[in-house]
Amino acid sequence: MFPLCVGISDAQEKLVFWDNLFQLAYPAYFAAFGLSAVVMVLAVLQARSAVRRRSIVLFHGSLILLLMLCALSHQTAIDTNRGFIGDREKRYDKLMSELEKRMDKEEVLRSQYLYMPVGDSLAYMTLGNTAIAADYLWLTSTQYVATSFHRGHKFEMLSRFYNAMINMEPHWIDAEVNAGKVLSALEPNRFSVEQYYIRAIVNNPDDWRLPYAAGRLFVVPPMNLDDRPLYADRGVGWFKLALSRKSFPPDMVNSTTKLMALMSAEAGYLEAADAMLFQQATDESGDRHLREIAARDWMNVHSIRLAKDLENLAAAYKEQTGSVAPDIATLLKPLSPEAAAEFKEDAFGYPFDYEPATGKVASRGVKVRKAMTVANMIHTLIGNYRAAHQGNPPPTLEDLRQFLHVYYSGNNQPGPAMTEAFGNDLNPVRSPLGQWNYDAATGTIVLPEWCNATQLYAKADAVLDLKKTKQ
Amino acid sequence: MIVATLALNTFREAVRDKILYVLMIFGVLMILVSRAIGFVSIGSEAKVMTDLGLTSIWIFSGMVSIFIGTGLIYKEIDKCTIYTILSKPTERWQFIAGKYFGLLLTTFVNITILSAAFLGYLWICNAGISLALIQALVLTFIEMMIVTAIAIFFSSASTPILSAIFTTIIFFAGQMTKWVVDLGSSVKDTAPWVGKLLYGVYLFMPNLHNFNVRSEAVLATHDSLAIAISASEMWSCAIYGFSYTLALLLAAHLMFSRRNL
Repeated sequence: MFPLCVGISDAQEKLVFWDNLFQLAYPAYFAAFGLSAVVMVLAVLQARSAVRRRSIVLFHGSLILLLMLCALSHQTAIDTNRGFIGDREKRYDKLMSELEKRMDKEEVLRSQYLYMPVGDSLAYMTLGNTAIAADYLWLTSTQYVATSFHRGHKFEMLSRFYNAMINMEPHWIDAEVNAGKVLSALEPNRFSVEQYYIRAIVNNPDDWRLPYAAGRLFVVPPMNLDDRPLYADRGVGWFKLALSRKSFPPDMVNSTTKLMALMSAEAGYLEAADAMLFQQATDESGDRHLREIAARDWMNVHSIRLAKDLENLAAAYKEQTGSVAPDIATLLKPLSPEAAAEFKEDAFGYPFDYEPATGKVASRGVKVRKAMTVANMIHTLIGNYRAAHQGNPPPTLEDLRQFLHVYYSGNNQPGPAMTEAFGNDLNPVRSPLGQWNYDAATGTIVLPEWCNATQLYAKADAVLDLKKTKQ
Repeated sequence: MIVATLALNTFREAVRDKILYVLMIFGVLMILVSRAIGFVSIGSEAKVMTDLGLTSIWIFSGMVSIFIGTGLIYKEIDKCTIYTILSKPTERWQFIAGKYFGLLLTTFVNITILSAAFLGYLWICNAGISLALIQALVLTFIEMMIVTAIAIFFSSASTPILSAIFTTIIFFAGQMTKWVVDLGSSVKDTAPWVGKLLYGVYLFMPNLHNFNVRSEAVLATHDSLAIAISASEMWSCAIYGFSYTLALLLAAHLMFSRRNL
């Protein structure tokens, strides 16, 4: 009766069968319409006969069916025009976009504001049951976040909600932490979200979760790399506060300290970062793998710190002599042999790069580490480039740079990792090693032989035992 | 003429009922209180007022239809006053129609008073009034036509309490009939026929959500000429409402005519 379905699964076959069967719905509709009309006419004709009672039932039944069929056809028309009730969001969005064309966009956005009660009035409205009011606020805001129905100034609206929630239930820390996470997802400006946490922390000064959550706000690097030291500084401050709380869980101390150490380095507190990472790497009670990771990070931070110290020596030399030192050996002359030995090479075992013209010092190991990361990201980007150019790699890195700028335009903005690797100007041509060796035929960056992870971290194991050696 | 006389008497009877005044006073109070609730919102006072006002009119009109409608016929039977009516040259369909139109008139008066209070209050508070609001109110009245017919249908066959329960359930379930289709969609791979069957059920259920354009109407208050839905959609809704109402009244008559009185 129905077309035979070849090469499809049982479930699909069943689906096709029912689809085919329900294609008969239209003929059935018209058949029912015709039948009820005929029955109604017959019922009218028989109305005066002996079977009057039956004809009344038939008349009513057929008329009811006719009316229902009429209603049904209009129901399908309404569904086609307006969509189901569940599609109201789509209709709402359509209406909003139409209104936006005719009216001030800002005003339209304001019209979508959720009802934002303030704390005091809610306290009166709930006859003092502020906990219930806080529950209501939390649930309402959760629904609000979960749906795209209301658009507009979400952060502004939700922060009012959450502040009202703090008024209602100042010690509902779980909700406050989660609320902060929601706000941080909505608002790129970390400091605005931090204000919310500050209010919550003031109400719960002994709790560790809120300062910890505030610290985590600043873990993700900012879009603008120039703000990075400030972010790191704030993060370190909050983590320090969280760690100072008695209730801070002991199993989180290590990971938090590591975060603090890395952020301290970013904030410019190299000595503190150096000390914290060294302590973690050499702590024999710690997990071996975590210690290795800490050791690698320590090598990086320690190398940066040594380079900074050398730069300070160069600056002091210039102040004393009026000219820039020609090489590092000149800088180290005034130091004792033990102290000078520390600057012989960076923590990775590479020599320091010195610019006699400016007196700038850089750790080559740090450069290698960065170069390896950036090269990996360039390879990923080349993959994207190939996908957009029939599998062909970019002829030059300049072409890749131009592709990158087109790729990250409009709504598609680069993430923090991208800006960290290529700078705010997204330039993959720039290399931490000075210049890339780019093979256009294969679309790969060829790193120098000495630029590899094995050589870079060859001394990492030794770092783990440094404390013992020093003792 | 008989239908009009019965309708007028039903209206008089309903107007004497205290519950009508109680519901109406509550409705007007809700509308007036909407301003106070609007105060605690930020930047959306008018929206809150309009939202609450429209919803109050809808819910209190529905309650009038349900609580007065479900007892109408039963009361006549219980007090035996129906015999004095049916012993006169009055057909049963005229009795049903008279009761229905009497109740509809009550609902109409109720909606008109609440709407006047609502629109007047909006005007006093300088909140926007648009054609869309009128559309929403008209559609609420058409929705009440169906609800009243449902109340009469159950009232012709059952006790007031059961009728009120059934009508209330249908009143609320009618707003959520889409869930029936969603239920079918969730099993469409395992049991496709269930989805089709539930869609059929959905089509035959009283889809009262057709008449709910309140959120669209509230949004349209920014523009006095804005409409919530097009004229053709209004007609579709109206025809749907009339057809469904008539079908329910016929069914009510059928049941009532078979009752042994």
